[in-house]
Amino acid sequence: MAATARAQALVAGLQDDATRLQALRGIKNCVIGNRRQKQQYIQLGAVQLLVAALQSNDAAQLVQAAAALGSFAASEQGLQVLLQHGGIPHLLRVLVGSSDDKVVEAAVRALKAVARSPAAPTRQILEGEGVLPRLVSLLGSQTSNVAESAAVVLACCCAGAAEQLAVAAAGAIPPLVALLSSPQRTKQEAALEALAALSRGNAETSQAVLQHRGVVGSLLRAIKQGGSPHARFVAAVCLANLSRNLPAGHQEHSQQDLQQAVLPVLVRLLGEAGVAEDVPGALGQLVANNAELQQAAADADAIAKLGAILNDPARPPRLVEGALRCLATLCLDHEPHRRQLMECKVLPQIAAALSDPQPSMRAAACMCMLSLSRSTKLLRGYLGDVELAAPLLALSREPDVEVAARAAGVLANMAVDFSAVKEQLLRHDGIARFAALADSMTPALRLQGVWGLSSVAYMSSQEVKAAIAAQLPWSTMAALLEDPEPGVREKAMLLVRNLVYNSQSDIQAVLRWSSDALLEAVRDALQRGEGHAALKQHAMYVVVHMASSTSAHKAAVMASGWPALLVQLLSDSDERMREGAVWAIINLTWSSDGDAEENAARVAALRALGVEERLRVLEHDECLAVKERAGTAINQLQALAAAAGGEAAMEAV
Amino acid sequence: MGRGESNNKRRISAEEWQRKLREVPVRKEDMNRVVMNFLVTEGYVDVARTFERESGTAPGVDLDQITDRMEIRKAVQSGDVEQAIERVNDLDPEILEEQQELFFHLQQQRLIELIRGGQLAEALEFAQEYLAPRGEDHPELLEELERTVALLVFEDVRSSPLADLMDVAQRQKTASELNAAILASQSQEAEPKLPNLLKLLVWAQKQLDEKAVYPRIENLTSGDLVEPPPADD
Repeated sequence: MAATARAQALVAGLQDDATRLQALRGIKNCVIGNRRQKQQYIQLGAVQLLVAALQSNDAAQLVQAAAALGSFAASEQGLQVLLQHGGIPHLLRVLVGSSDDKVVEAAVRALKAVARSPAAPTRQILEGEGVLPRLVSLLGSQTSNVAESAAVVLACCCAGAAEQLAVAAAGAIPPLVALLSSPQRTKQEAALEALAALSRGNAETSQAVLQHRGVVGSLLRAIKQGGSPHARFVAAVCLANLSRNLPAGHQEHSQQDLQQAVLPVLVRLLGEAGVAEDVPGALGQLVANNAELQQAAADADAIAKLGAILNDPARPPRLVEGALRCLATLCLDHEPHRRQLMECKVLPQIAAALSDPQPSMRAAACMCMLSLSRSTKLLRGYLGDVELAAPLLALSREPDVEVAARAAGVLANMAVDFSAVKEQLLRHDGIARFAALADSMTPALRLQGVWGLSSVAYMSSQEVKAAIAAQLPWSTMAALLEDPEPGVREKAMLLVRNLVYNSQSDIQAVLRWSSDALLEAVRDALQRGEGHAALKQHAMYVVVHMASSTSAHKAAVMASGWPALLVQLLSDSDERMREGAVWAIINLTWSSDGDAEENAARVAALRALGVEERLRVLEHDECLAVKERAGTAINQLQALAAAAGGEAAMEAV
Repeated sequence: MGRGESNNKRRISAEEWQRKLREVPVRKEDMNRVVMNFLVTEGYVDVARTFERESGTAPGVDLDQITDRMEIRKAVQSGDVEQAIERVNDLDPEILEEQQELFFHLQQQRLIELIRGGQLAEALEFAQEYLAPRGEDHPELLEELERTVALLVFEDVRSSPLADLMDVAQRQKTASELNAAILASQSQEAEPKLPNLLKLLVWAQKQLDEKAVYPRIENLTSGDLVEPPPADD
């Protein structure tokens, strides 16, 4: 084809001094804006020859070569080839070494194309000898868009704190601040971008920026309507960054003022047609951990606007992901916000995003679901309308522990008794999944697994409880009760409590499951649980339930080390423990049909342990419930003693 | 104006009007800047240079770039699209690297010029090599692309439904789009400020007509104040 022949001729022309300039220009004009031409020239090996041309001393050739390479660098593949052929050091050398304005202009433009790519070797650029001072000095250039290009390169290179500090130390801040008042819009925008990148999450550079008087004023002007959406956005991000590091007693502005000024700008941008992909993320970051700002965002209709983004199938994935994360933040603690989101009717979209091919999208959807699953109202209703269990169960197997734990957390929330999703969960073998998670090596996953099981077990049928015991060997259960993580131990004890609760046969099943090791395991966990009030209570109620069960179960309690412990716990510092212990005593000394004799033995044993003296003390307890129950217990003991005394007297007659 | 109506309006005499006008200070430098803005945006480079020398008003842009911009526009207007593309790439390679729609319109114009020049073989090859792949990469351009390539089908394009593409107005349209893109890349507005100021003047007079009778400017080029007719009563 003619085009191919022409391309071959141009590449050949690069290798001859007489034709090189012409060929450089020809190739440049072919590849600019043309992806296929770039591919063709890459295949013909042009990039390597262009890099070689950067070693020329001829200014005209340097200009053309740099411009052509800049065009290649604007495509992912082109940049890779440029990096492979070691083009960056040559480009940097031309930038730093040339005194020709046109050459420097072409070099900094090409470097901008390189720096903008996510694959840019930013460290190599910043560490190039003389590069940073050169870029900073170019910020003051009047030549076409050289200052903008230098600012964009600096912005792209501010990847982390070390880079930000290096750029600031090279003196970039004063010329960037000066560019904020440039009459040229493109210069202002580039400076805004660089200042935003410099101040991102960095107190030191933020304060260095804030030292320049009038910066905040310039930024506040820049977020007003009238500027381009991009300029308003970047200025808003910059202000948000700076507001986090405003020194106490800053002369004109408070953190709150600035954040309140930024918030409506970001929310308004959310609703604009070509909303930038980073806007929802910036809003989410601004309102994170700040209930007041979250409220203000919702009042400004942010949730409906974010919902509209989810509802539009044509939106770019990064925007949707940002919207999901922002919604997760806004709905984390506020029930009305969750309701507003439900009104947008986007639950199917969120559920679909749980199975997105992109891991980061799945993670974002999962965060959003976690916030929604904290609502008991939604669990009772809406959430049951969509298929959620299957994708969440799949997510709980993700290699990314954070995502897996979050998915398991959502599932655990959905496992509660009244949840409309619980049925779904059981149908998809959620119990087996929870049991597997409870056996995980990762504490966060163990916690969610055992938490999920405890929720499933609550008020559930004997079949469900049997399924749990079948999936979770007692040895694992016992290990969970001794887990190094206090949170895991507590949920494990809650699981046991929920398993034994409700009926004698429930208790019998657990005793069988544990081969009668239950009482001992629970007692050991309680005795190690000093300082963990919730765990101690769960343990106590395991025994309270058993003490109210059959004569055989009561006997089992009496035969364990529990009676002495119960008497001791009557004096526990936690009133709920005292109350539980009194209940256990009441239950143990309550005679059900036909066990009067056994009951008398239990009473005698408890008396021998000094139970009555302890109960007497509780009659003056500061907690009303404890006081009343103690009274009941004493009456019960005395009634039994009187009856026993009566019998003895009759026998004596 | 109906009888009786004018009675409710305030009458402002020529003398009073002049006095009021004198109270409004307009800085000479500001006027010079409006003039310079007009010259620069419209591309009167030589005049702008002279005006800069004589009035000391900074053009605010690189005047050489204006020359480039005007020549690029002229190149499109005269049908030399290839030259225009090369010069834009010299001026700022980022413009056509990023603005795919604009680039497409330039290539479309190039095809039109080839057809206009009767170079049908070249036109066909150009369409296959450059325009067709563009449609694959940018599906949003597909419809316009099909319409353009259809030019090759008609024997007499000028009497075809696609005649508008062959019109000189199409050249003008492409040239303006390119010109606006270059101006934007240089942070300049595509329109000078002066026409807007004049529009504001016309609007302000209309507003004032409802409330007052005063010496009006009827002719924007002469700027003469026209005395209102004497009061009826």
